[in-house]
Amino acid sequence: MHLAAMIFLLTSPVRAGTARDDWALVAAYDLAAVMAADPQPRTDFTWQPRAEMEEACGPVKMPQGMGIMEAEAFSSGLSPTLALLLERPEGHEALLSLDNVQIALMRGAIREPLQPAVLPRDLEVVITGSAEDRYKQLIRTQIAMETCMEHKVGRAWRSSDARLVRQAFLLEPPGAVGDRGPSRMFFGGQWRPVPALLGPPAACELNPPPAEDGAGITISRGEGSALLVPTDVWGASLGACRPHRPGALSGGTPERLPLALSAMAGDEAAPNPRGARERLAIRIDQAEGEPRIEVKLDDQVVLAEKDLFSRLSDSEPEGPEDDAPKGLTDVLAFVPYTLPTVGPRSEPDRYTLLLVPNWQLRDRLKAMSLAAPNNEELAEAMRAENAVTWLLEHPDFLVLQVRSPEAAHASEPAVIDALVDKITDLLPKDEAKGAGAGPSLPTLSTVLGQGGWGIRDWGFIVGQDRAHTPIVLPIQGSPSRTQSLTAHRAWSHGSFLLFALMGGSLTVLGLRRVRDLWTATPEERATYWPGRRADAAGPGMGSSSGPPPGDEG
Amino acid sequence: MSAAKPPKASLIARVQVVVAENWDMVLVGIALSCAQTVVPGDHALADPMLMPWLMLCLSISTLLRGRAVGDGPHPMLTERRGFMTGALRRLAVTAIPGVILALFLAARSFRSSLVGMDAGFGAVGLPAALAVLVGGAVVGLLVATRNHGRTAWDPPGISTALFTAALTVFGLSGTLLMGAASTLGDDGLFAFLPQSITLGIAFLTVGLALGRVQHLRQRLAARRRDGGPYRPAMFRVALALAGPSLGLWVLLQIYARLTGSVGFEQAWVLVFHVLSWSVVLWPARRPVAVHCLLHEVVPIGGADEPTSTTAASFEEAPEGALRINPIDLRRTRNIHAWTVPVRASRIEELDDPIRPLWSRPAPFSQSHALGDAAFEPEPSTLAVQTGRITVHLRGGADVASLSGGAAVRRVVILQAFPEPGQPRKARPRTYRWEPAVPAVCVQNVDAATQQVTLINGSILVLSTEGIARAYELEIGAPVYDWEEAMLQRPPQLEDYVAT
Repeated sequence: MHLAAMIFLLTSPVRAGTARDDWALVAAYDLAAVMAADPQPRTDFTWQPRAEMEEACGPVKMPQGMGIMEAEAFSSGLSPTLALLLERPEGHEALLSLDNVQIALMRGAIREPLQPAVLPRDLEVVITGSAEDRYKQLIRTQIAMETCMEHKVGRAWRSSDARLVRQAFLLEPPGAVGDRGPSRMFFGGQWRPVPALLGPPAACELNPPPAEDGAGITISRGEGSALLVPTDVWGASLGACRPHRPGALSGGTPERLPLALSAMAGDEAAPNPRGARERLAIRIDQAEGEPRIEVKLDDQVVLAEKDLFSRLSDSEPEGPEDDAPKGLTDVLAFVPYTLPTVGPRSEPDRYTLLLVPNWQLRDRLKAMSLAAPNNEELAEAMRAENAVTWLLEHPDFLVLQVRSPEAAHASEPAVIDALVDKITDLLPKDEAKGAGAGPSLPTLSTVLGQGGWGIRDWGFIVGQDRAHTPIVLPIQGSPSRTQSLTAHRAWSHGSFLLFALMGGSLTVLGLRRVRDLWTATPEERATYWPGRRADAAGPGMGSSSGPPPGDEG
Repeated sequence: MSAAKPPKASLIARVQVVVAENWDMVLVGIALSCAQTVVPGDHALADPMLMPWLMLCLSISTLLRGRAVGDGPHPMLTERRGFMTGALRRLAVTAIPGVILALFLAARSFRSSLVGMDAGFGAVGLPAALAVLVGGAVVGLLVATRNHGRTAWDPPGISTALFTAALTVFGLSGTLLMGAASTLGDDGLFAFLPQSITLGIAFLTVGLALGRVQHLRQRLAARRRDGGPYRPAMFRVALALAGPSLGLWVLLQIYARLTGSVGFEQAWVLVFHVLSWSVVLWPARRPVAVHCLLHEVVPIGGADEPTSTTAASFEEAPEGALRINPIDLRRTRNIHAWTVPVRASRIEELDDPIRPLWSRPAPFSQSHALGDAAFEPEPSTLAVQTGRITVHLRGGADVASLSGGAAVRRVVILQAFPEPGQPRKARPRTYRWEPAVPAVCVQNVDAATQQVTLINGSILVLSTEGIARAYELEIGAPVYDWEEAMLQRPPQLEDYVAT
């Protein structure tokens, strides 16, 4: 029988793996704190922009008030960063983009979206069509300005309403915005969340138009200032494409922020994928005098044919259609950004990493506290310098949603919940907790640990069901075991379990005997207890004879 | 006249008995469950296949409890024992789960490499080399310590070499088969089946490695008391193989269906599964006796002076009387040894149907001055206990014989506090000034008393015409062999009376 079984085993196919049905959150930690747990190894990642981008856009600037690119802040651990690691469902091949993920701070009716870091784009722009050249030049200028802004501050352009776009292009000075405090410049500053780029972006035009007269004139591109100035924006141009081999730069420096997956039993981490150049094909035709635009990214339509000039998204629909203010369609806003992925060699895209910097959390918490001035929890959050740590202690503030495979074409994303199998019902629930009653969504508290009995306050942050999943750090090599244990709060967790069991046992034992405190003890009376003889010397307490004289009876 | 029906044991009482008997396994379970959280995800122990963790748990339980699964030698024969040989033999069987794990991994990797998966030489060669090296060491230790457990009688019968070879082939091939089968996938009912069966094989291997074929030959040659042939107790062997296997498979199947996935996060489930089956297959040893001490004690500060020269009224609490309180005394240097036998609800030696080789010697008799003392089974759970001594008095004669006149003699057993669970109803008071003391804390021994119970810390007060002696009971360590128990001197009557 054994022989027959052996023959069967040697000839049948190998199968392995456990089916995963839905997206799951497998780790949540502070990137800087985990990296500090073991100073080695680190990465030597530095932000090195492409030479052609510097020629076309000028030198890089840093985000206002930071003095460092956000990707460098991640890699050096200079600033707390919230890291959330998602595990994708089995057989779900598509990569997550910002359009498929929603992450927000939420309390009652107040919802403040956050923007996790994304991979940089390498665009090869091709502008074609029968429209007049002026329309093509408008689009070319728009793309040049926006890609140069990305190059300058290392952030991803996702467009916004007209007021914020004017502020991003430095057409409006930073100033007070309503009751939310002072604005610190959209896109280049630290007020509205903007996704950070995990490496320098690149953009070029495949067939640029021939140089016009005066092309040799030197244009200022913000070289004279360390801060963003209008010439950073208005001196932008789109250079001609040159051959480029993606991957490491000269000297072995990684082009993008390296992401290392902790070792997994029985599998080896796959190397980070190299960025590939994508072709952005823009076709502008003119029909009945009105220019229309269609955008494709690597032959995938990202913007179906529509009017080049359309109603502004934040304008009020008053009066006839023709009277409404119109604006130029923001082409780059339709080009999706991909979230970074890591995984073992057998499945390189298994895990998706969301990185949210501390400043985003603090500013959104500040906005929430201004909207709900009487909320004590938010007031406490404002007193915490490290909003990442505070948020990990209050995961019920964080809402994370991912479009599930079943709802890939639905308008609303499904909700991640590793413990409650699947939640597809996003109908508002009645919840009076927090700043005012309003619709609410399941929060990370269901994944990061049950809040009952306040056990989260005792160190039980990540449940035992998620204590051994891999983590991702922006380092070279692999995260050490110390870092993995720190990310999962393993020692706190183990100590909590041990002392909870010990404390519980001692409490039960003590309660069983607590009545002895007021229970009377019995006594037995006698006239004489034999002890040391009155005339005996020494400390002996052995047997003795009769009672002392005069003590009988 | 039918015997009184024992009270029904509550669930809590049964759990208490199990925990008290297996506190070592409970502590190991807690320690491993807490240690699970600090095992890094990439550590070999955290393999999602769960085999390393399973074998670690089995190794630890083998170290603490490992025992042969067979019936053992003829009950009338004494085994040869040695400290070093015993320790080395235990060390050898503790390594057996590791050998089985190495074989399992080698077979798994070998089959993966055969069907095209990138297993690599290290994945196959390293566990195979470990299996050979550690397995060789285990065999060497078992051979070197083969005299441990040997008895005098070695009748002819089944060949030890043949029996051992057959079992080794079965264990090796079974483990290799399961290792190769583990690559077939983990879907549906097949999921966790190879790991589960391998666990059963490991339990059985450990149990058989600690046994001797000689013992089987002895029993086969001795036959049963009724003259019939002896049939080996195959139930325990089958239980060792099938119990842990089936239990683990069912447990993980249920867990997987409830939670969707099973990995190292559920290692604590495996811990308690392996330890539970260790308790079933290798129950805690039951002591035959407990060494106790009777410390002679005297009250502290009992020599207080009377405050009045005239007799006080009965309504007033007497003052200045010398009194002893269980929590207010000191020990003298007089100590009396007392060995108390432990009685079980069943006598295992009598349950063994094997024919005795010669007349059974007289059983150990307890000759205490008070009467027949023993640790009797808990009346509700019938579990063996070593916390309460029951003394059956000899019809009141003992009380009188101590001094010759019960009217002026007094034996009282005091207990500071009731034990948890004991009733705390106060005993009737003679005088108003007496405090309300729980009835179970005071046992007056008189001519009508049938039995008394003693626990650790009980005070025996023996007084004669106002002169008293008191003894505090200290329950000591249990002993597991009659030879060791008989080394103690039985207490004598003069230990308890004043000279």
